[in-house]
Amino acid sequence: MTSANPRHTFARMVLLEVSPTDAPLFEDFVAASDDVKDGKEIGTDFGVVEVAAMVGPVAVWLAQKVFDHLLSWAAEIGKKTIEGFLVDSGKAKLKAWLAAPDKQTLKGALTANGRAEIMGLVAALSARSKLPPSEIRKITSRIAAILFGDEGK
Amino acid sequence: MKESDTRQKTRPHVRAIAWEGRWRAAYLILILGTFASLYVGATLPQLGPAIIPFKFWAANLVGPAIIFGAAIAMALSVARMGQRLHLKRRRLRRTRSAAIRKIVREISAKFDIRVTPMTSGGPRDGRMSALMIGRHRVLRIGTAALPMAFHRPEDFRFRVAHEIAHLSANDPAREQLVRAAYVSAGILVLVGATSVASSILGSLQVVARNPGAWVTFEPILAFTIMANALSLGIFALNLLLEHRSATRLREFHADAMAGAVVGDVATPFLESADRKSDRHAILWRFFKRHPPPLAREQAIAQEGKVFTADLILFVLQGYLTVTVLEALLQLLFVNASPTLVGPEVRQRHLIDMFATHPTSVLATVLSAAALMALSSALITARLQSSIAAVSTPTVRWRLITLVPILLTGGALMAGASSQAVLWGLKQTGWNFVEYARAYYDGLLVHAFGLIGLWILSFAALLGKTRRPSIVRLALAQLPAGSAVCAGLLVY
Repeated sequence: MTSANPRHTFARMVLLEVSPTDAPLFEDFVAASDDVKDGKEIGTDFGVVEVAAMVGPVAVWLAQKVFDHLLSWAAEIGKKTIEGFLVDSGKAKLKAWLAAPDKQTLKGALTANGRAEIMGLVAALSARSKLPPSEIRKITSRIAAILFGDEGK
Repeated sequence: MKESDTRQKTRPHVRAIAWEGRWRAAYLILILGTFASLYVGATLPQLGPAIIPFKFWAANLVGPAIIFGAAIAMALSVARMGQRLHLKRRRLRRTRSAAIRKIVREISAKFDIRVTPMTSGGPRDGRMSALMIGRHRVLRIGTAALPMAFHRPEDFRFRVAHEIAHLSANDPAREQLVRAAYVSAGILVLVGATSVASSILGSLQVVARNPGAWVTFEPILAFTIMANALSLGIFALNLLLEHRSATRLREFHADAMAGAVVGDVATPFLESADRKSDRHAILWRFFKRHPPPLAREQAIAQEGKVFTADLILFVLQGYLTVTVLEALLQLLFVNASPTLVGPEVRQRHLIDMFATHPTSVLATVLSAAALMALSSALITARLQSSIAAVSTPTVRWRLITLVPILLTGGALMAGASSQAVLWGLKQTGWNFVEYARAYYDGLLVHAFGLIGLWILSFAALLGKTRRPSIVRLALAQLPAGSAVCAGLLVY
């Protein structure tokens, strides 16, 4: 699994873990990630609203947000804002992971605070997704597993 | 399967719904145009001749009708520009999944049309909608609805087919046209109302200079405002309800077409969150664009349900038939009845008017008769489709009992909200017996029109389920014909 865009690589990994059936829709999910619009549209619609959100597009959206957050840490290495989130050797690991998330993990790179910060972000974004709690737990545990190896499982 | 195959496969009731949907939209636009033009023609009589430079007997009505047509064209252009801007903000993008594109291609081929699948919305947007962008038919799929193609393929295909059925029936374009007609009629009525308001203000200025006149002016002012508000308010409300009822019917049509093309699927309705509120909001559902999910689910299992789910049609058509007749009487006698004169004066007035403007009188009567006939055709078609789809004696007897009551209810609503009737009643101190004695001729014409509607409904319900078109056409002339006969009798 190689891709020119590491952000997409990570998002695809999460999608394949959470909802492999949706893999053919990955590009559509990526294109929708920055679209926050919701609700009614011009034209006729079906009239019966979906009862539950689908896990696939939410997983891709969430994974990209997490990736962007970690990318912002990499940009701020050396600044006080992220001190306490990364262990000493974590900075190099983070850079390596951001370049190839499918070949690296962040296992041992983050402090307890850093890990709590990331998982807090995942929880906050999941809460906005309207997914059922079981699906939220599924996404959270899979992202933790991909990022931190066995730690998240 | 090409369109011809789809047509063969669709059951007669589906074709009947499509017919009703088309003609209800046409009728609505005709009513909107006629009444808005009449209103402006009556309140601003100088407008028509200003538009039509040469001498023309119907300039008062035709002038505003030309403005109505131009306003529709303008409203459509503005709506299309607005849609482009809206879609730009919504970032409509081509659906990238080959699997989804294939599904859409396959289903649209069955309708023999070309549809472009597009995606928009964030990860939580699970809606699908059909829209026209220029001449392109577009199926918009919300991002969250995409996975349904793999998780619940039958459900997804049914929804896609439902939206494509809307495109195939030209529903989005028709909806745009009806909305444009509403906006145009609204603008014309607003112009007319402004003229009424300015004349009231002018009278108030006169009264202000002469305080003693207020005692006589105040009750007339209050009555004018109340009667205008009641009459226009109920008319606008009923037109809205008629539009919403026709909109709900086209959803049944799209469901039925989708069922014919990809097979009936009831799961979307079973799962709907709205389902729980089906029984609670009985009145509110008449304003909704979609039928209750329970009714849609039942319509899939039992096709006759489509026709009995929305009986408000009969109330509205009863109302509109009597409103058209009342408008005709007002037009014919407007100069003869400001003080509720007797029938003899009206008779003389009509004979004089016919002698001086025969074309004008005939054209007015024929236009009203044509509008009434179209309304009656809608009623006949609905009743015959109902009993053709469900020919059980219970349904037939239920309709035989209910339909005349609903038609009468609509007719009474039209009478009670008519400005002329209210004015007449006010003249007689709200004594109906007195009023009926002074205006028995007009009431007789209305009574004959209503009896015509009853006979029409009984004939449609008691006869054969499939009648030749000529018989149906003759049936549709009954209310207008009987009202005209009554008119000839009394005048």
